[in-house]
Parts: sequence; C-alpha cells; structure tokens
Amino acid sequence: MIYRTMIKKTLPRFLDTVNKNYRLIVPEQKGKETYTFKPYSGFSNVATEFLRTIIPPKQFFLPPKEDLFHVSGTSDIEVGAEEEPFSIIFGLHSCDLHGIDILDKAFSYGGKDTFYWRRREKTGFIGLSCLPDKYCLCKSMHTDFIVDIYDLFLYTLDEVYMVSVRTALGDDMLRLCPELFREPTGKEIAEYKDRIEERESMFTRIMDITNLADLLTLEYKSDVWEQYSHRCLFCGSCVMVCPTCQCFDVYDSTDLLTDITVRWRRWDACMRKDYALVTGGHNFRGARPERFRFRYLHKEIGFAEMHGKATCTGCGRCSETCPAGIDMVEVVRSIRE
Amino acid sequence: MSLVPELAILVEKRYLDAQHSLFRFVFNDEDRRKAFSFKPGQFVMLSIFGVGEAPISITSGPDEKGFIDLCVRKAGRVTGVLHELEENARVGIRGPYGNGYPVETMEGGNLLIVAGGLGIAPLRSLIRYVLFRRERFGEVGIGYGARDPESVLFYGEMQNLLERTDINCMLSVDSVPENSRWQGQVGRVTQLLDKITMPLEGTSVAVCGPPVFYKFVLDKLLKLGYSKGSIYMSLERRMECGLGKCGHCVVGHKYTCIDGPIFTYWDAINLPEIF
Repeated sequence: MIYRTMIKKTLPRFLDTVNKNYRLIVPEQKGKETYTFKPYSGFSNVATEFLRTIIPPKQFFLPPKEDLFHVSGTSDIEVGAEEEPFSIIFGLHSCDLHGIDILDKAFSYGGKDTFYWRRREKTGFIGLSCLPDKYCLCKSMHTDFIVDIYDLFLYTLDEVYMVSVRTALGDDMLRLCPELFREPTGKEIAEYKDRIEERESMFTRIMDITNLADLLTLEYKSDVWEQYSHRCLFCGSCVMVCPTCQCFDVYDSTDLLTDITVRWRRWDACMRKDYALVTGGHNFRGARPERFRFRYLHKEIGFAEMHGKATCTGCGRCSETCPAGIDMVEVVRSIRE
Repeated sequence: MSLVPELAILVEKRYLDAQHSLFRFVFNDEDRRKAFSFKPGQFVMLSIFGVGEAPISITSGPDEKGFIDLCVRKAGRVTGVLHELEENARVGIRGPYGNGYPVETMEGGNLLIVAGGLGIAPLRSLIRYVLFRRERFGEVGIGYGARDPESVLFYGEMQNLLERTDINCMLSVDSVPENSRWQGQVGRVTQLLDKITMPLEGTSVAVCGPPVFYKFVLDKLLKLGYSKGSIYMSLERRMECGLGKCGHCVVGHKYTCIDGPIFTYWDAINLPEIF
C-alpha cells in the first residue's frame, strides 16, 4: 500500500478538484450537533471534525424509498435506468466503512442485488480518521480501523493528513493534483504512531463481546428481553440510523389517472409489529420481547454465522438516537450479569 | 437475480373448492417458457400489478414443461384478487426460488410423503416428480389428511393414487358431516402413519401442512423411530423479496427463502424461534 502526506490547508483545493471530476458527497453540519451527507457545495460547508451523520451512508446504495419498475395494464415492465455519475463520498469513518463492507456481503449473499450494486459499483470512498465520543463502540467491535473498502483514507495529524492510498481509483484522485502529495517524513510517521496510541486511550466506553453469541443463545429465555421491551417504543429509529440494517418492504402504488403501477421498496424495521405477519393472520414474531430480542440476536449472532462478522459497527447511532434511552452496552451488560 | 418479474398470462383457472383454485400460468416470452425449470418444493413470487406480490409454491411437476400451476387459497390481499382474475389476465412471475426437496438424496431410497390440507400443494409437485420416475424410488407411501370431505384437494388425482399398487397411498378426513356420503377413512393423519409402514432405514419423509399438523405429525414420526435428519419440512415465513435480502423471512442465521424453505427437522430445531 502507498502512503502520502498532504498539507491540511490544501484539502479545499483537493476536494474542489475531485468535485470537478466526480460527483462529490461530503458531510455537512445540519443542526447544532447533527451532521448529514450532502452533495459538495464548496469547502466552507464541509465538516471535517464530526463523529456521525444522522443517516449512515447506506442511503446512497439502498435509498429510503426507491422505485423498482413501472408497468401499466398493457405496457411492458420498465425498469428505471439509473445513469448516475460516478460518486466519491468523503469523510467516512472507519465504522461506516465497515458498515458498507457488511452491506456488500449482505447484498451479495445468494446473488447480487442489482439495484444495490448498480449504485455501489459507481461509488468511491475517502475515509477520514476521528476521535471517539461517549457513544463510540468501535474499539469493542474491532471496527476502529479499516484496511479495505476505501480508496483513500486520511489520518488527521497536526499539520498534514497521512493518506493511505488503497486502490487505483485512489491513485487516480491523487494524480488529479499530484503537487499536493509527497512521501511521508520520519517525523510524520512518528506523529502518526503517537496519534494512534493517543486515540486508543480515549475510548471510555467498552462493551465486552467475549463469547457474546453463546451468552445470547443461552439467555434466549432471559427476563432481560421482557424488561427492555417495556421500555422500547418500537419506533424503529435504531434501525433507520443503523449503518447495517438493510431490511426492506416491497409494495405497489397505482396512479388512477394514468393506470401506471409503480413497484417500490422502502426501508423496513424488524421492530414493527407486522414485520413477520403472514397471510392468514399468523405472526411469527408478534410479541414485544420477541421483536426486541430478534434485533440483538440478528446483529450479534445471525449475520455472524453467515459471514463471520457481527453487524454492529459500534458507530453509536442507535444509542444516541433512541428516544427511550436504550443503550446496546447496557443491554449486553444485563445479559452478561 | 432481480426483483423485477416477467410478464405471464393466467391461461386456466380450475375450481377446487370454495377457498382453493388451481391457476395455470405461462410466461409471455417463449424462450423463458421453455427455459423455466424448477425442483419440487420451490416457489415463485407472483405479482398482481397494483396489488402486490406473494410467495406461492409450485404445484405442477418439474417434468411438465411450458406452464406453471399454482394451487392457491383465497386468504390475503394478493390471493384474494387472484381468485377474482379472469383467464388471460396479466400477472408477473419471478423465480423459481428456494432450495426445494433434495430429490437427488431421496432417489434410491424409500419416500414417505405426509400432507395436511393445503400442504398438498408443494407435495403434489414432489409426487408428480416421483410418478415420472417411479423406478428410481424404493417403497413410496403417501398420507394425506384433510379437515372434511369437502376440503380434500385434487380428489380425482388422489383416487388414482389410492388405486395404484406400487404406491401405498392413504387419505383420511378429520370429520364427516351427517349428510355426507364419504366412504373413505375418518381420523387424524397421524393414524394413517400407523398403517403406512415403511422401513426406518433409507426412508426420507417429506412433511407439509399447517402448524398444528406439524406438531402432531413430527411427534408421531419420532415415536415411530424416524431420524430427525431424514424428515424434511417446509417452513412458511413472510417474504418480500425471495432473494435473501429483505430480511423478513430470517430465522436465526437462515433465510427461509434461499436456505429453505425445505429444512430437515434437525436443522429446524437448531434454529431459534422454531419450536
């Protein structure tokens, strides 16, 4: 892998150049402490020191709602041709890159999801390092570093970014303005090492996931699920903000004037009461504790048994968002005790 | 793999009883019609545009080419509208999906098929598969239980099977109304299993029916001594995609739509939420 350094003050010039060649998506501040991904509209709007956007990057590959095809009473089925330009998402933290890796696996298992991949294949990533806050759990989930998925990754040092160039696309971006990049000096490498150590010591929140799959299975009938299900509002917010929750619903709508039917898919949540309801009225997961438990079991065990990786990236969004103040660390501690 | 169906036409609608009909579909595209092949136990996603999509198991046999038969109960939104459709109506079909019965494993051994109610729908496909190549199987037993004489599906076909000497087929109904002229057996399908004696060694058992039926039949099969690994059951779950993506059919670490819907009893009891 190739490493370069770039003077921090030249980042605006670099992003301006990338934006001229690709569609650039960047994090922007939205409210007082909230951030969101937006198309690049000048460097002054770019947030470089932030922790998490409200909605994770999954929105770019699996939009909250998308039309799959159109059909009328007599016409053929028409699939909307998506001719989007190649996009680069800037500012992805390690946890979100891990999240994309997990989605890639999920949308490939049993055959590639063409709607997901037609966007995903036309997207590149510029990662950005971060420092943890009280919600960050990436260290516990082993997602605090990433060595794959991204094209470029920028580690923030005092004066420069240490840039890891992972792919040929990353190299293409560098070559758009080669004058901004140079070999790292010994001093910069030393600073990089210090920063990693410093960051490691900043994690205050730890979730013990030792043998968690066994514990969750053994405590399948635990009262803990019942207790939390009284507190949970089943609003689905945790699912919407989760970088790896991928469930969707498929449904039709017909325009009465044109007689054109559109088939949609939109995000769905396993917390919803009729999520597992089938025709005839049987609900395979109707009770509140069952629904609450399912999300934890699927995050920590279900997916891991298929792909060898738990789907929690430790991004902290669910804990920060939950209106009932339910925190994954607390739930896991309750199971462990 | 795609969430986009292909256009198909409803060419024939056969009334079975007040709740069930057999629908025959052909793809518009001739090449697709010829190329479509499937295994018994697989299903398709049937679209009625403007209404929605539903997973329905295939009822015709894999050797019957050019069309797809679906035996459907009038039960929900999509199936309700399906029953109202006239012949020549346009629908969408995608699939086949699911693993299907492991017919390659079953061949060479004996096969016991146990159906309850509408559970006959996917098993009819398996029965047709067996009839087409009867010589490849050892002993074949079929037990079919229905609620009452009125709700025996495919009665004519069942009569033919009852008369065959190379298949031990039995049919019974749970109860008979007073004015009925039912001449056949009355009782639970589990009672049939006492009469259809098969060797325990080298016999696969394919079971399909409603939840309460599974409970009694699986208990009975274990009491008779069948191995959990030789009993194949078909799971029903909500499905939005059929492709292992939407999440609705997940049980533990399995997607019912692509890892199933056919699971051995042993695999099923190792999934959380099943029993």
